[in-house]
Amino acid sequence: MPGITHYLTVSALLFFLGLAGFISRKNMFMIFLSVELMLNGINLSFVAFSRFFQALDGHVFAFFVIAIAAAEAGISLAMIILLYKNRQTIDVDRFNIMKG
Amino acid sequence: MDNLIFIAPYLPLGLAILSGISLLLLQVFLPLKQRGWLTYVALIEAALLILASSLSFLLKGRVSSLPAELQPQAMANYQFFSNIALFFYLLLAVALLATILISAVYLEREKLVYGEYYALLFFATSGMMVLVSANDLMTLFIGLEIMSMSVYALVGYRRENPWSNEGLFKYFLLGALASALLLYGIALTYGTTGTVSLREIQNFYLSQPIGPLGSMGLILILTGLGFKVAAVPFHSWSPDAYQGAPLPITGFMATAVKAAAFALLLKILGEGFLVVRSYWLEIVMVLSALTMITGNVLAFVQQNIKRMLAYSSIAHTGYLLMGLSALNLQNDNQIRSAILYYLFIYVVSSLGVFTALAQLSGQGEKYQRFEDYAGLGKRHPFSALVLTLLMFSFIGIPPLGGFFAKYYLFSEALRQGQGLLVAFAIFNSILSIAYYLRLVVVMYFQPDARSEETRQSTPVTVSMALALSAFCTLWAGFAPVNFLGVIPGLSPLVEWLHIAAIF
Repeated sequence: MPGITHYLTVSALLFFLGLAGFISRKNMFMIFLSVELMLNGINLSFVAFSRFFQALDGHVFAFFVIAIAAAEAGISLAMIILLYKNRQTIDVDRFNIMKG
Repeated sequence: MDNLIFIAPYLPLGLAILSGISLLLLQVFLPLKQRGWLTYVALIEAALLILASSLSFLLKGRVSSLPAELQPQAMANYQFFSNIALFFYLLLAVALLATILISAVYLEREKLVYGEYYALLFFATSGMMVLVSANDLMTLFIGLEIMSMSVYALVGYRRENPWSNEGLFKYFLLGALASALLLYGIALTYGTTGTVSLREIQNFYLSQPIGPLGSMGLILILTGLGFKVAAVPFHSWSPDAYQGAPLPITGFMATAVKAAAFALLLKILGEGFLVVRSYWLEIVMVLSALTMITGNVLAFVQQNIKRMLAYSSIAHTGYLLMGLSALNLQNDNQIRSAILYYLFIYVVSSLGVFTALAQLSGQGEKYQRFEDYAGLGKRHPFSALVLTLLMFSFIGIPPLGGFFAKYYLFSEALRQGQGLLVAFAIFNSILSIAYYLRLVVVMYFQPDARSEETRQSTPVTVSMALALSAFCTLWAGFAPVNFLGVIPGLSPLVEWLHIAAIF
């Protein structure tokens, strides 16, 4: 029978895998997928805590996070299309005209 | 009338959301040639927003005139509508109004489509309003995201411009990361305390230790917020986003977004986590010192004025963080007043600076470098004069508002025993003279490099906005300031007499 620690471990694993992906990936799509992975890890811990406390706040929060993630995906896809149209690349290292 | 008292607290927020939707619909149905009307509609709606906020405040005072059995419910409706929330409503509405005023001329000049520009501005403002009146972490986070999403879209509004693209990309990337970190911090706090309400979190920590999970949550929340307010070492997006954004939006980010982010910090550190102050105090102090010195040193080496202002904004974040580090368990209102006063002065002065720059930068924002402003004192004497005044206010030269903002903030921090940090902040203020005065020197004492160019006149709206900003900065330095009781007991004139009495 999995307890709260199991859920939290999986959630932390998802979060930090996402963070590692965010830092190491160069492709914009992969970076945003990493952010989504982090958000899903967070959702898991919200739901796990909510079940642990026998309260609904965490469930509600998880729904809001899903909605926010969807909005974020909308903006990120629009942005990637815009950047690809202007530069024909979505490699993050190529966007470096501003420094200092 | 009685019914109005019940719905009044929802008026400003409702109006902001409805204005956004109405502008969005209007731009679909208006013929292309008449899109210019959107500006007037947006201006009227922003002015209404100020009126609605004031009306709600007036009606709040009338709650006690209701029949006794209705009073508890009315009070409950006003629960989120504190005086501090009202202060931020008015500040945000004024920043919005000024941004729309600047944008009207700017959009025309840059031949940008009106499209959803004003609607996004209103949506961002409504997100900030949710944020500043939130009492729990859930509402707070949603408000923050509504604000951020709208501002991302606005930063990239010049779609063909490579700087705008890059600014958008960096801002959005780090913004999304910051949101995720903040959210994980909130999740861990929820796991420790079993609640998302700020007051209940405070009550929980009064009786229970914070524990490893809770302190990790606190650190993650601080990291996420550090990104949002652009504190060093999480500031790297800010100069790029400021440079890439259209100038009115840069102004909006430097004023409204920054004020809202500080409202957020004030809520989280000053309410929810105040009792565990010993856990975050040192982090905030280190962040503050790093932010001040990095902002000031890097502002000094910039050649581009937009970037200089971005770093100067980072430096001001450092001073404000110092103010936060003085928050204490006695829940002293003086320190909050000092922070709010500083924000007010900073917002008013920055709006003036960005109004002037949006006008002077010319078609395609081609004049962004210091040398482009040589001889401005001759070409545009009024703009140059106002810019000089505002730069002096940023430095903190008496008797301008900026001096008192710094004076109150520093003396409050000193009173809470932050002597070392205050000394460092004063040292930093002296450093900041170098780059603020540089603009003044360039404007007045360097020969005009492009005198052959035709001198375009300044539109009346821009001159009015400049005059208003200069007036507020001056006025705050002389008149007693008491924002609807939010900032009690700050009267520079009395303070002047005290200072005079010392010598």
